[in-house]
Amino acid sequence: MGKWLSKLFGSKEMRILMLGLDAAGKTTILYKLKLGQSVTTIPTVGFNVETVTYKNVKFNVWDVGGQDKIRPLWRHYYTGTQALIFVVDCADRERIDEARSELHRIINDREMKDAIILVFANKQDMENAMKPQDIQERLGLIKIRDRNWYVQPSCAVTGDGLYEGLTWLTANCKN
Amino acid sequence: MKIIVPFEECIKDSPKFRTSLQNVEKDVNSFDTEIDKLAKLYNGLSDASKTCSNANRAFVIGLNALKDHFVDESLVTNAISNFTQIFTDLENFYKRFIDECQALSSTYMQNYIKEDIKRVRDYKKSFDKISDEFDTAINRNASAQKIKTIEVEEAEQNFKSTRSWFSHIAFEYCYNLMSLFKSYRKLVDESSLLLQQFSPFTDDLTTQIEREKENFIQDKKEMEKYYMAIKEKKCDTTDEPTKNVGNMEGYLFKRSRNAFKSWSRRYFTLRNNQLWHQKRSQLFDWTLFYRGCILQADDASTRDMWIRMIQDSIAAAFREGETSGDSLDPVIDSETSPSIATVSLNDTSKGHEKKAELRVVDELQQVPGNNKCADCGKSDPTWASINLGILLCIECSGIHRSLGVHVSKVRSVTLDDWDPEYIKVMKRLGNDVVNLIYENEPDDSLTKPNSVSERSVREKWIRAKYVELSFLGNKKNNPVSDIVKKLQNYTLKHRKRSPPPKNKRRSSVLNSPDNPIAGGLDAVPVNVYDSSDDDDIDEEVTSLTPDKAFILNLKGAKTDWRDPNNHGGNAIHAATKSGSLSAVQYLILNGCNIDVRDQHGRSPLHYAVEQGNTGQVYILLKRGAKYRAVDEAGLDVLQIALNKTYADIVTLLRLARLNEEMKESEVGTYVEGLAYMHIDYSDTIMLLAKCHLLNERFRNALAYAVIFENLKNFYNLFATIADYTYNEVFKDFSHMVTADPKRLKHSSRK
Repeated sequence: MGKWLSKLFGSKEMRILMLGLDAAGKTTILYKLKLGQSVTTIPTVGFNVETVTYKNVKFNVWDVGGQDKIRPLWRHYYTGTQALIFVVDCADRERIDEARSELHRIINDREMKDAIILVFANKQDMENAMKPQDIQERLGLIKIRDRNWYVQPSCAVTGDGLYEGLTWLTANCKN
Repeated sequence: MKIIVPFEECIKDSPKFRTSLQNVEKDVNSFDTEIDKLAKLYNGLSDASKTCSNANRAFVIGLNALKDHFVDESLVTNAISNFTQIFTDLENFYKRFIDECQALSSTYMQNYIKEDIKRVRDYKKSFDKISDEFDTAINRNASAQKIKTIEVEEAEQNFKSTRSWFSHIAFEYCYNLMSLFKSYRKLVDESSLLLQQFSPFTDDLTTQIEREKENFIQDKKEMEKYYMAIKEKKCDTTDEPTKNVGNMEGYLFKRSRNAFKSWSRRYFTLRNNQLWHQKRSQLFDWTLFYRGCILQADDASTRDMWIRMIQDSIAAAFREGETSGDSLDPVIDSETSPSIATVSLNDTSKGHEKKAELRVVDELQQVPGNNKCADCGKSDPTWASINLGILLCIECSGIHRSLGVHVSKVRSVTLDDWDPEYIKVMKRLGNDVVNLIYENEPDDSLTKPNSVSERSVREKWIRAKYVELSFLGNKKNNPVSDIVKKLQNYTLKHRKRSPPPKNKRRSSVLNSPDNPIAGGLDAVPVNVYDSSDDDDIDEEVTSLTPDKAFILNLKGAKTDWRDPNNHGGNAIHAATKSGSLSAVQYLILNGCNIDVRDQHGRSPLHYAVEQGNTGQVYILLKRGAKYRAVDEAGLDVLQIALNKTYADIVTLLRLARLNEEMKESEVGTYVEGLAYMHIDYSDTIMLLAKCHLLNERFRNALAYAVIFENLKNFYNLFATIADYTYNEVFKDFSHMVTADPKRLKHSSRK
C-alpha cells in the first residue's frame, strides 16, 4: 500500500555526494538539513551519511572528509551518484584555486559524468565573503557548458539557501 | 685472455656476478671459435706444405738429372750438388717445423683445449639447469601457504637441497673456467718452446711467459683456496644477504604495483640509507625507492635482518638529516624521501611490509609546548592552526574552524599535505611561544578548558583568546614590552632547543621609536632588539617582531599601517627586506595584503626580486602577488629581475604569467583537465617521462599543467624536467595558444 501510494505521488530517491575542501561546512550543512539545527562539528575523519526527506524526495547524502590526503578516497564514493554538492568556503580566498582544481578533478571523472552539480557558496555570513558570481567565475564553471550546474549562496549555520539548493536538485535531477 | 669471476660475488649470486659470468662465457666462446679457425688454417697449411715438399723433391730430382749431363764439368756439378744439398736441408728443416706444428695442434689445441672447453660447457649446462631449478624452488618456497605445513616442509627441503646444489655447481663452474685458463697457458708454453728454435727474440717472450706462469700459479692457488673455503662453508650461506655497516644486499621478492600484484625477485641494495633494487640480468638499471612497497624474504631470519638494517639506516638518515640540514639534495629531501620514512611492520603477514610516510607530526610535536593542545592541554595534538602556529586537539580544532579562516586556518597534521614553508612557520612559533602572547594576562573570570571540558567552555575561552584578544593584557599598561621581555627570557631559556637560524636578518619593525603599533609601543626599550649579539637570540626575537606587530594590530592596522621610517612600507615590506621567509609567510597567512605599495610605489615583490630572494618571490607569487605592478621608476618586477639577471626569478615570473594565460585560454582548461586525471603526483612524473614519445608541444603543455597543479612541488619538478629550456618552451606555448589551439586539442585526444 505504502509503496503503491509513494509511486502514485512520485516519491523518489536521490544519491547525493557532498564534497569540498576541509572546513568548507559540509558536515554542518548535512546536519542542518537533517536535524534543522546548527550543530557544532569537529573535522570529519571518514564520512557521514544521512537520509534527508524534502518535498517527497529522499536524499541520501554522503558527506566525506576534505583533508588533502583523504581526497584521493573521494572517488570511491562516485559510483551511482546522481548529484554532486560541492561546498566552498567563500571567505577562504587563498584556497579558491585549490577548490577549483578539486571540483574539476571530480567532474572530469568518468563515474561522475552524468551527475548534476550544485555548488554551495557557503559562509555568506562572513564579512569579505566572495559573492556567488565571483565563485562561479573563479571555479571556472562559466566555461563548462555541457554540464548542468548551479551556484547557490548559502549559510550553513543559519540554514539560508540550503533548501533552495535541494529544490534545484529535485527540479533538475533526471530521475 | 683474462678470466675474472669474482668469487665474493659468486657467494651472493649478485647481478654483478651474473654479468661477469656472461662476459667470461662470451670470451670462452670466441676463444673456442678462434681455435677452430686456427685448426682449419693449419690443415690448409699442412696440405699446402706437403705439396710444396713434393714439388721440392721433384725439383731436386730434376736437378740431379741435370747434373748427369755435366759429368765432365766439375764446376757445374759441384755447384749443382751444393745447391741441392742446401735445398734438401731447407726442406728437412721445414718438414720438421711442420711436424712440430702438427704435434702442437693435435695434442694441445685439439685435445686439451677442446676437451677443457667441452667440460666447461657441460658445467655451464648444469649450472643453467640448477639455476633454473633454484629459481623455481625459491618461488615455490615463497608462494607456499603457511597453513599447509607439509607443503611448506616439502618446498623448504626442496629449496634447501637445490640451493646447496646450486652453490656447489656454481663454484665448480667457476673453477672449471679457471682451469681452462690453465690449459691456455700450457698452449702458450709449448708454442714458445717451438718458437725458440726459430727466433732470437723469444728470450723476452720466455721471461714474460715465466712471469705470467708465476702469476697464474698464484691465481690458481688463490682460487683453490677460495674453492676449498667455499666447499667447507655451509651451503645455506649462499643466499644470505651480505651486510656491512649501513649497507646490505641480497635477493627479495617485491610485490608489483600493477593490477596483478605478482611477486618478482629483485636484487636489493641498501646503501647510503637508500634502498635500491635491480633485476638479476641488468647491471645498471637501478631503481630508487621513493614509495612504500611490500617485500618478502626467503625466511624469517633473513627478513629480520633486513628489517633491522632498514630501521638502522632510517635512524642513520635521521641523524644525518639533523646535522646536514638543508644541504640535502632537494629531491631526496622531499616528502617522498625514504630517508625520513617510517617502517611499520606487519608480523601477521608472510614476509614483511614497510610503508614510507613523512612524519610531519613528529617534526611539529617536537617544538616546545607542542606535545599538548594549545587551548585545552590534551596530549598528542594532531591538528594545527597554520596562521597562529599552534597545535590543537580535534575538539578545539572544530571550534577554531568555526571562527572562520581570517582568525584561524585549521589543517590536519596527519591528513593534510604540508608545504615546507608552513612547517617552517610552525616550527618558528609553537604553542609555548604563541601562548606567551595570547595568554599574556588570562582573564580570571573565564575557566581555562582542560582535556575533558565541555564544548561551550572551550568555545568561550577560544573566542576570548583569539577573536576578542582579551588575554593580551591591558593596552594601557603597554603589553608589548611585557610580552617582548617574556619572549626574550623564553628564548634565552630555550635557545639550545630552537631550530638553527637559516637566514640572518637585522631588521625589526618595532625598533623604531615612533612606531605607531598598539599605542604605547614607543615605551618599548629599543635595546631589547639590538643589545644582543647572539645570533640565535637575535634571530628568534627579530623573526617574531613582525608577527607580534601583526598580532597586536590584528583588528585594524594590518592594512593601513605605514612605517614612516621605512619609506611608508607595511609590516610585510619590513619582513621582505629582512630576508626572512617565515616572517613573510606568517604575514601572508594572517591576511596581510601582499600587494600593498610603499611611498615609492613598490610592493613586497619588488623588494624580494631586488634582493634576489627566490624563496620569497616563490611564496609571494604562489599567493597570487601582482607581478605587473610598476613602481615610481616605471619598473615592473620582471624588468628588475632581468636587469639583475636572476635567472630563476625570471623563470618563476614567466611561469606565473604563463599560468595566468593558460587559465584564460580554453586550451589551458583542457590541459588542466588532463592533469587532474592523474591524481598522484609521482604518477604524473612518470607520465611526463612517457610523454617524450608524444607530440612535443603537447608534452610541454602537460608539463605546465602539472607545474601549476603542484606549484608547491615546483622545485622537485624543476629538477625532474630540468632539461626543458623554459624560455623556449614559453615562446612555443604562447605561439601554440594563439595560433593553433585546435591542433593541440586534436593531437592530444588521440
